[in-house]
Amino acid sequence: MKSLCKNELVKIFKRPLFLGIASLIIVLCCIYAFLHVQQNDYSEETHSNWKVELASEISRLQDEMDQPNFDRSNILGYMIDIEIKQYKLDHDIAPDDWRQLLVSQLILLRFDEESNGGQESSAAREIERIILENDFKANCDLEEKAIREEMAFYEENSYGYQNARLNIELLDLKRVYFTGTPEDAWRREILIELQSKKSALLGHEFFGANPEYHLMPNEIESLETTIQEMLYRIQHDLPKEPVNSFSGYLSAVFSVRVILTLSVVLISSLCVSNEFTYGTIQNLLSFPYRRFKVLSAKIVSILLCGIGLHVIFYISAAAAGAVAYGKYPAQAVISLNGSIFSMDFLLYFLVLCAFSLIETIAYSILSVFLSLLIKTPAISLILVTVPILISRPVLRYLSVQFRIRQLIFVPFASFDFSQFFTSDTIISGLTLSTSVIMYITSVGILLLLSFLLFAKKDY
Amino acid sequence: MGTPVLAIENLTKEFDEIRALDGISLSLNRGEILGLVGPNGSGKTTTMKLILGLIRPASGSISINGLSLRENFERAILPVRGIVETPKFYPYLSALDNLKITFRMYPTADWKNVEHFIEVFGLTKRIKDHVSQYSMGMKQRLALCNAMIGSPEILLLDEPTNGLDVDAVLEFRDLIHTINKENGVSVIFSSHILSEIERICTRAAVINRGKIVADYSFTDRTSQPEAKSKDSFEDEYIRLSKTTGGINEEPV
Repeated sequence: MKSLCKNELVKIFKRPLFLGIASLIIVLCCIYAFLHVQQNDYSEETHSNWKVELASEISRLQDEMDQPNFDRSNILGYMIDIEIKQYKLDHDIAPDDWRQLLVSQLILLRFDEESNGGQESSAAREIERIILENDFKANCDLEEKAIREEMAFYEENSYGYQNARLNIELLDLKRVYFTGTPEDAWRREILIELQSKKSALLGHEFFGANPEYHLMPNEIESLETTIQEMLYRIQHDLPKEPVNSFSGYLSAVFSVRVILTLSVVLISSLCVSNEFTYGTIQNLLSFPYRRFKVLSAKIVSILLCGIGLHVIFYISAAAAGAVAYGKYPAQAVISLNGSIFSMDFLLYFLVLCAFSLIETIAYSILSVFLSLLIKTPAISLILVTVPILISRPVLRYLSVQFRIRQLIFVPFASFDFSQFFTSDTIISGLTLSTSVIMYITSVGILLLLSFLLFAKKDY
Repeated sequence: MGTPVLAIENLTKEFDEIRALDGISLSLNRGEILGLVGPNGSGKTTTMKLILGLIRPASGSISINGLSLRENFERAILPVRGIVETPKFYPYLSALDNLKITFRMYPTADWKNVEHFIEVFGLTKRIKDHVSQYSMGMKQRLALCNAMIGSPEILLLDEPTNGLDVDAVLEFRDLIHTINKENGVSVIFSSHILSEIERICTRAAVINRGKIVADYSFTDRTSQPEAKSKDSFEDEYIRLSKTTGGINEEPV
């Protein structure tokens, strides 16, 4: 058996195709990393230049005001705009600072009071104090007060009331988890995102009949999972890295797995059907080994080839990311079967690669079966490639549009376990346990049919 | 000679309800070169494939050195090697890699022995070339070299001279005799060329419509000088054709 496996591996690894695929994977990982770093450089540059941009914007507005043909009716708007920008410059309020909105409120209030000939109000003084002291909690109190005043106008079961209640809930979260310092900006971003997700759910609850607010069951599932993940991140102090980061790069480069799956399927198809096209099946079967062992060796070597390519992919992606970003990726937050937990990102990426391997194995065994049945590599390859490429979007579409619950019994829906780790299930209602049962059953049947076909046929 | 290394009894095989072999019984003695002769479609290749385990019989049995091929496939097939139809190799691998693939399948095989055959069959210079660059004659020699890995006791050659030029055919005959005499390998050699069978084999079995219709021993003939002078194998075959109602020319 060991010799049979060794022979099969020689046949696979000595194909120029294998070397080509391995090189392609390494090159793709490097290209992805290069492109991500370029994106990263651009955004950092934009972020660090905000003061220069603000100053040039102010001088541009002033120049426009000095023009002889300047429309004087717009002068107030221009002055307010200049004043807001100048205030931000003077008090070092960056574009991602939580006080941005307060500055606008303060300047508008001052202009309003000045035009009415009055003196600075206590409200303006309080806003300025909050800005200068960076007193986020006091701002929350102010916001809550305004919201509660608004709530008084609504009935308890109305959308307005519930939305206001939602905003108060989020203010409570902000009070607990956000301090207002620049280091805490990620928490504020998450809380803003959280608010928008919760609002979307509330909108669906009240105005679901309106297509603008309507959410599909999978969208609701996805929103609820994302909300749980966000809360977990805030509660466990796990900042979410931007898209252009090491973890963002690893998430993006994971799409290369389709090429991995297609490559292993191609190799497994050639591994079987070339024995027929070259006629070497006769040599192979006249060796002193039973057919069961011959086919087992082929499947084991295809499995080893799949593992090999996935290991190359994992190492290439991790190495390219490490070289490009020079630091360890942040923790990954995973939602699985209703429970949320965090994991080292490289370990998480390894788990995703393992899931990709499991999916690849299923398609490879399908490819082996079809190659034994059809014996023509091109046809069997096409028959396997089609479900790899289109089963996911087609099943998702059918699930969303027609809500066919029986779709969970389509084997292709269960081949990809990473869907449960990335909170992106193909079919609404498909659980990990159902998926595992479906996977084992379908792969088991395919293996059984392959062995029966190989053992019974004349060559 | 005397001890049968291969015994076939009442072997039948059907393809899509067409009977390709109809109760064939045959034995191969140690050191013998048995010619299997018959027209196209008579069942020669089917017999070879059944002995190699490539196809399964409908009924009957094959035993090699007393071991049933059906019940003890791995042990029974161990001393049997064969070249069915044309020689087949992995074209993207070198000749050496192709030989190594076979070598790994026989745990008792000795690589020095393989190197010896590479030299005997004149493959040394081009052994690292891809098989796709080999001529038909070279492939045939490589196939013989490949078949000798693991020191087989029985060699099955199914129309091995098809596609070879005259020089290659003569060279191939010499190689078969060398293998038979120096290595004591028993050979089943199938062909529809009577003169070839006569020159190479020590015995010939005539197969027609899936049945063995005659078993002709060249050694018996040589022991009877009168018969040798009067009847060639070709005459015998023609006589047989007349007495058995004609040799079928249509493939089964």
